[in-house]
Amino acid sequence: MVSRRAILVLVSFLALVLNSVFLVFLVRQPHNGYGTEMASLELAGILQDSSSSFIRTLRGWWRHYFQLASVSRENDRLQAALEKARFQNHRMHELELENARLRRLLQLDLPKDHGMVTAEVIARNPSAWFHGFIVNCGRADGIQTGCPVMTPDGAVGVVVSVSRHYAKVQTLMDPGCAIDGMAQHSRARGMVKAADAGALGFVYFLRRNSVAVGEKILTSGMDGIFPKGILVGTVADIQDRPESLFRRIKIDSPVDTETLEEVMILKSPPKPADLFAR
Amino acid sequence: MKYTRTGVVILVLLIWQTVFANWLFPEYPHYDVLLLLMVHAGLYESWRHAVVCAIFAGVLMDNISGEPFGFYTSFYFWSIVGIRLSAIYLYILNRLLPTFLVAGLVFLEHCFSWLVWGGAETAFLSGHLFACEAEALLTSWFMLAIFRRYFREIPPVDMPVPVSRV
Repeated sequence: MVSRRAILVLVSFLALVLNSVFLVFLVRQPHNGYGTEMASLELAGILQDSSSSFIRTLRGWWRHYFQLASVSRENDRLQAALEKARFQNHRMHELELENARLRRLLQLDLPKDHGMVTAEVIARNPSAWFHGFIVNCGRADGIQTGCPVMTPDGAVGVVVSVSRHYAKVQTLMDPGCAIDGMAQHSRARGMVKAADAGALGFVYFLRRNSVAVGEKILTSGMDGIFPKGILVGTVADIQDRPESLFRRIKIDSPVDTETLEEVMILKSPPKPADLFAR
Repeated sequence: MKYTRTGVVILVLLIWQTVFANWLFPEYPHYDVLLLLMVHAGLYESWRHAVVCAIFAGVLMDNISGEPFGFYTSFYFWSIVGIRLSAIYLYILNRLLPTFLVAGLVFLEHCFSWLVWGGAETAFLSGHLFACEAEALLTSWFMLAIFRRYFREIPPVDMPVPVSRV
């Protein structure tokens, strides 16, 4: 005779197994909050936003009143960097004009100007298994799911869900995120996705294409997420395996997603349909 | 009133976990502090209160994190069930027990994530689990003492009697 407690334990165990199987299938689906997502993001977002503002205020006081000793040194360094940037900016402007002239001569479309929103990171993801954060811009600011997120240093990730005033961003470091990239010199394409902990990989890059350590990897614009030419990282390590068609490439990202405070979000990313139409 | 207070605790823990912990110690990994509340609710609160607590905290966490929807709700719910069942055999008045339960749940949460993500290596990031366990063992007793004070350790009505005391 089986005791009531044994049946209870068995039923609980079976329910737990079914629950786990259900979750395993859910991992492969896009995130769905079943109607609770907007309310949760808004509720948590308001509190996270005010907490982040409080921390930023404290940091601001610290920077402005207690760290004055280092300001003069930093000022000198920034002045030198500014001079260099001015020169580069002038050169880039000339190149841009030349590019536009040549494009007109060749009757090519000029790249579309994507609207951009600057957002502040107000909270990090609570678990270590998903790499992402929450920003204080949402649907009211023109953000939608699939918008690319970047900093002046390079690509950061993609918006995966949006409420009215807040959005959740999945970074390139997340195993569930991948974008299309290309090597700057050979223009050969591959896919950028998370490799080991804290590093990016450039996969499906054919062995016949050349790439060198230190070379920049840019977005190709073929994934319908990022526009073409955004820096993703620099090649840190290349492994050639004779039995494989592809090279194994490790990329160093210029963006530290763990310490990001502000990001830029493109409001109108290139859509795959537009790419095919072109 | 008690549910409101629990809701406030959940929100405070959530803000600590997603904002303050990461701003103050960005280079260190942090364990899921809501597990503290699950251990407290599982040991010292009624079934209904513990389950409501698990569902509210779980749904919030599921929506602000990138896990598949239901991950946290399921894990918190099964944690409550596990704690209630194990309370039959454990001496729940032992002050060290909750600390070890938190450390155990941190480990099980990593295992559950590993299972759900199909054996992805990210669940056991190098040193991550060890750091989380150390943090849980060092800080949970203090946090649980605050919870006991905050909730005034009201004895549960339907708590099973520990075997050691029968």
